[in-house]
Amino acid sequence: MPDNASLTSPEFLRRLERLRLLLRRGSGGGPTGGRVTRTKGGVAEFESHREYQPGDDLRTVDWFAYARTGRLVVKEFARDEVVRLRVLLDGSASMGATPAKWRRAREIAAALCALALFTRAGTECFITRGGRMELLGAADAEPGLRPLLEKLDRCTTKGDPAPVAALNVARRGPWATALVSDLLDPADPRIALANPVKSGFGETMVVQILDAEEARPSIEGAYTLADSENGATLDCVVGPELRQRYLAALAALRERWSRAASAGGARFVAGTTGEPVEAIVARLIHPTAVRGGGAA
Amino acid sequence: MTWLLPAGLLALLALPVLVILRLAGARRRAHTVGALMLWAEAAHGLPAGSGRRLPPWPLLLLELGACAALGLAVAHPAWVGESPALDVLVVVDRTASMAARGTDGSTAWERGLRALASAMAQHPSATRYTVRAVPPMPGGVLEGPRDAVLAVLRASEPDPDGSGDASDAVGGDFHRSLLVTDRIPSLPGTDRLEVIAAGEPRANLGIARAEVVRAAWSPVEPGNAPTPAVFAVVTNFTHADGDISLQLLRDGTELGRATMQVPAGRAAGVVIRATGGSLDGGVQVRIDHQGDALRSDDVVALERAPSRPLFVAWIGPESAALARAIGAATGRRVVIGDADGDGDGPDLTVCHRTVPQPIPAGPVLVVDPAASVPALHWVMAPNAGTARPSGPHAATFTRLELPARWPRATGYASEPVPRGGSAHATDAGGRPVVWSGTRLGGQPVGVVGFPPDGGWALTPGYPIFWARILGSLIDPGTASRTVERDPAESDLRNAVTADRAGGRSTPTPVAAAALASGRPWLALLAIALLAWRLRRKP
Repeated sequence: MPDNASLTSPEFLRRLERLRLLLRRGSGGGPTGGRVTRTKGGVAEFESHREYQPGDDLRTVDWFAYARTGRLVVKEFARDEVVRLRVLLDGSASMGATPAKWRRAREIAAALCALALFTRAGTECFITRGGRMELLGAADAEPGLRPLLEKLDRCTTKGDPAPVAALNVARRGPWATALVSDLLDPADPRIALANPVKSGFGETMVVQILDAEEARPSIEGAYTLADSENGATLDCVVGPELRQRYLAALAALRERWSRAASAGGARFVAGTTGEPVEAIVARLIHPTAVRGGGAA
Repeated sequence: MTWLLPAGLLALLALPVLVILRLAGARRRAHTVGALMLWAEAAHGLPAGSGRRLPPWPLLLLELGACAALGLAVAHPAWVGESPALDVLVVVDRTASMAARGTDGSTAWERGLRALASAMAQHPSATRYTVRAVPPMPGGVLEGPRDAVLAVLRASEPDPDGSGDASDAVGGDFHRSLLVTDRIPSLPGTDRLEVIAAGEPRANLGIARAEVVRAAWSPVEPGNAPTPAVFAVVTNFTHADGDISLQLLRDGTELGRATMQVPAGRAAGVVIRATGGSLDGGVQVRIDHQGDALRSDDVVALERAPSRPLFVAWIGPESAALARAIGAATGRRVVIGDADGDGDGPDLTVCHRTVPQPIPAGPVLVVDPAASVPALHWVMAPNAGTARPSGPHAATFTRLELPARWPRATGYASEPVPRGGSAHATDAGGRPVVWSGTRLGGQPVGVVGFPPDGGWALTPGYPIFWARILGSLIDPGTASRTVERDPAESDLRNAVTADRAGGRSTPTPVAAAALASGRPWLALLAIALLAWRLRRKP
């Protein structure tokens, strides 16, 4: 898809719809699946009926009511507890280094929100930029996905990064949290991921998204590199040796996040703009089913 | 050292281009990255400037050196100093025509040797010369340094009975060749062959070849039949480039026209399309040099189909040059021999220095350069511009006596000789040429005489002269060539008339030397190098 295509385009919506297939694989059951599994303990309590809407699971249709009234209604159950997925999208300037990178990050955020809604969990999406967290939107059911995607479509990048600090704040609560960021933040990831789930923090997922050029630089020669976030410059001569050292630094960064995630019971996935969003999300949901999927 | 192709030095302009490209490539480029965090960590501890696979300036020096060498090679440097390695071939024409005296009183041989000495003075003193003469000198092939060779040549003289084409002696593994002749050589001049023209400079153009283009070569226009066309090759024997126009005529009506430029001393061909009609019935090709006041310089008649050969009986020493002139003049293949070609007797009997007794049947042409035939008798009117024959009119021949000072006459025999005989004379640059003709009982007889001390005109260089005579003798009133100029003043040549008469075509060496002078592959290599340099990823 082109980098300027809308997240509400029919094509992207169809791709989101196909993500339902991911929910049938494995036992995770989605970005909130782990949380539901751990809290299951009985039959859900019936709460009310409502009109059937396209996209509703046919298993929730009350066929007896249909036989009686001729109207399609679905049964709604009261959840055992409030299960929500809080998606945290890094909106710092480095995320907009290339249109493809910013596009892929928003796609991942949209896919995570959609998956949460597909499992009948609520979702809310925040964007962190300029040291602030802004709520883009929230939805408790699938019809609320489209307004959320429209807001994701319009958001832009600016300011310095603070993914570690934002994640540290956002994951406090009984909800699952997902961070979508390039993680180009010198802060120690253990600050955000040190507290395990069982200590009251929700399940946490971290998705690192980098541009293909950032993941494997191809430039060569004398360059003045400029930081897109603060304008700082670095004069260097890019050659094989420097590129090798860059890749080593990147690998070390991923290793730090991976270890921190493992210690905190979180999931960490690294992806690039060269991969489709479905592949990155699949590695996040089924980390053991996709081998060599990039989780460092 | 000098440059044989100085324009090739323009290739050195690529040097500053390379420097500019290098400077542009060495400039630090700006590149925005998401964050400097990883780059700063990677560059930490690395010395500035490291990471290059090759230092830039030695590579630039290599490129500049290669480009400069290429540019110099394109210019084709040559050392003309005291190089001891030059071997030069000198071919000198010793045929009888080289003894012809010019207006300044010197012979072509003397003029040729003077020009040769000037040319040899340009060579390194250590140059070794090999001299071949046509016909050969008594001592055979001469070899030695410049002064020795010139001394021997100056002591030599042309062979009064010699004939042959000196161009045939050119060849061999020599650095350069010099050809001294008064004829237009059959070889084109190149950078390795210098032709020293010993003949007097004259200005004229001649049609070397004209033939109807085959139908397959004709330009085809949509909806129309192929346009008939004539291919004409014009040789420029002047000393300057000539702008010429060619007309294709049938019965005085122009069928087509073409113009071209012919370099001095070269031949050039052009196709004249007959847009005004067909070529049926025979046509004429007429050329006109824009640089002179003449209405036309040469005309060639073309027949649609080759006629039967011309059977010529030859009595006396045979002249190949005259045979070619006869072929050129008549446009027919010349078969020389004693026997009748088709049983009707020879079409022409050429008596060369010899008077046959009895007189053969049919047209007779007597050529007497020595005026030694006792039966000939010629009385010159003292002050007349036109000579009249006298003496025994009953005699078949007219005696030719040429006084030391020939009275200048103008005009040229252009009409058929009436019964009873008449004669016309002309003075061509101090070389009297007389043609006399008479008819006895319908049998045309022509006598051509030359002064004993003058040059021979029995070469293809006088096709128009012979066309007049032979046209009157063999086919009166249908001379195949006409000219506005005294042929003795012209320098017309007809190099491939035998082929034309036989209906064959030969390749024309048009501008061959011009192609040989360039080094296009070197220029292409230089361009490819530059293009590769431009395409390199910065």
